[in-house]
Amino acid sequence: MTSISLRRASFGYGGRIVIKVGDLNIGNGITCLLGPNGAGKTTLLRGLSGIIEPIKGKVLINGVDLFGPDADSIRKRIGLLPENAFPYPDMTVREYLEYWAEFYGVSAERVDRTLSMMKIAKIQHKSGNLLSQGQKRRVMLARIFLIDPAVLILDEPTSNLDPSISYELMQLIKDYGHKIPVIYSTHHLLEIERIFDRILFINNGRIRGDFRKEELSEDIYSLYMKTISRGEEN
Amino acid sequence: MLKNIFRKRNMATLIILLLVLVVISLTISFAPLTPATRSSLIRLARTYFNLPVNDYSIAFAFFAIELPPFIALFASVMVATIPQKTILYERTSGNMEILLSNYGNVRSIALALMLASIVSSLVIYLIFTGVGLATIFLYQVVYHSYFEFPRVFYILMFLLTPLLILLSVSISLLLTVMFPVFSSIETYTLSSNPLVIVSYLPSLIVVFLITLLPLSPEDLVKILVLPVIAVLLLTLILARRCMKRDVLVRK
Repeated sequence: MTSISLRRASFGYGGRIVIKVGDLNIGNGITCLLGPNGAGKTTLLRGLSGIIEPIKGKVLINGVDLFGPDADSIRKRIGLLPENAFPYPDMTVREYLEYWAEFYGVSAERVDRTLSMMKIAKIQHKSGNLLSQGQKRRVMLARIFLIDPAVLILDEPTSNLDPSISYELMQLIKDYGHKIPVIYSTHHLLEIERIFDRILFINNGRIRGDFRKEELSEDIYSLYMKTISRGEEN
Repeated sequence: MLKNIFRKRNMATLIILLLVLVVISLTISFAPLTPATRSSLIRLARTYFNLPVNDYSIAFAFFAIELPPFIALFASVMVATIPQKTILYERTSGNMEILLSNYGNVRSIALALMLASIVSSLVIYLIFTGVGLATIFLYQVVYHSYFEFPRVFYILMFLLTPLLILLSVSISLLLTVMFPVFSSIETYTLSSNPLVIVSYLPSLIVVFLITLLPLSPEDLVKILVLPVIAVLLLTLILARRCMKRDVLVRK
């Protein structure tokens, strides 16, 4: 079982704190981050995925400090999908995946398997700049599944995907959620309602609510509105 | 990397570059020349290129001797955009975040950026020089003549031009690493980005000095060698220290 732990962590840019988290443990299952624009979700995701260094505190995956000397092997198993990410425009889909496969040290067969798993084999020779928004998203997701991720960190994974692909992706995420921690940031309440195991409401640089599915006594929308408005009053 | 260099699109660009150089060399014959320039070009055409003196051979002499500064200028502008373009692509495509997530040591990303930019700059220099020399070779074939270049040509082409290109890419690298947010400034072309302009400005000034002032290229090379090496070393040392994770992803 993989776990991500934050120890008295604060994240931000240029020394200015954007989100103050404190202590947080995330285990297997789908943890959704929900909050309005500018709440600090993306900054928290960047902190959790080791993109930015915590201004204070530590980020640990399976007890390994992401900024410590032994972090390289665990870092290569972080499956990150940034918001609005797209493949390099000058590379074909296959070239892009082969490039990352080489980086991760995985075989060419794995590229073929991933291409068929993500149903993008037909577009493998298409250049990045000729792909539709949905196709770009699928290629970026395919990059993650080249490896066996120890953790999935997804920022708006279903944006620009058509409903059928979106549905299949949610199933895939759900399956992964049984095995590893999946951290999922979105604005869409309806999208996560079916899959979440835990939900973190974020507003004004703080976690305003932390609920597990089994603990919920009311629907997410009213809980969200209550928690977020409480955050705005503070 | 070689596979990328020899892509069809790049080969087409090379052929277009060659054609542009040929057209430039032909149109020079219509350019007004001062008597002093004309007489030195006649000497060049006669002594070094073994050509009969006419408008075309004078134009060719002018083209051949101006080719190195021309390459230095265009290549300097082009290479100054490489670090900016790289960072811009990585930032806007989200791949920078993936790289930062997968690498614990941000210095290895800085090192990769430096290596890629410097190697690409040298490749650009070799391509420009190769195409320029190919144009001259074309004239040799057309005129059935053996060309012998003056010493100044070799100094300009094989010493001053690579120095200026290195200077341009070094400054650009350093500024890009220190201020990556500048790559997000929207300009009509990347070469008009303020940071890129600052990067190729020293090379531009040197090219003007060569063409406008009676400074010998030998002296310029002697003056430039140390500062260029110093800037390059400073870049190698500082770029790795200045690269900051949060600055690289901040909007």
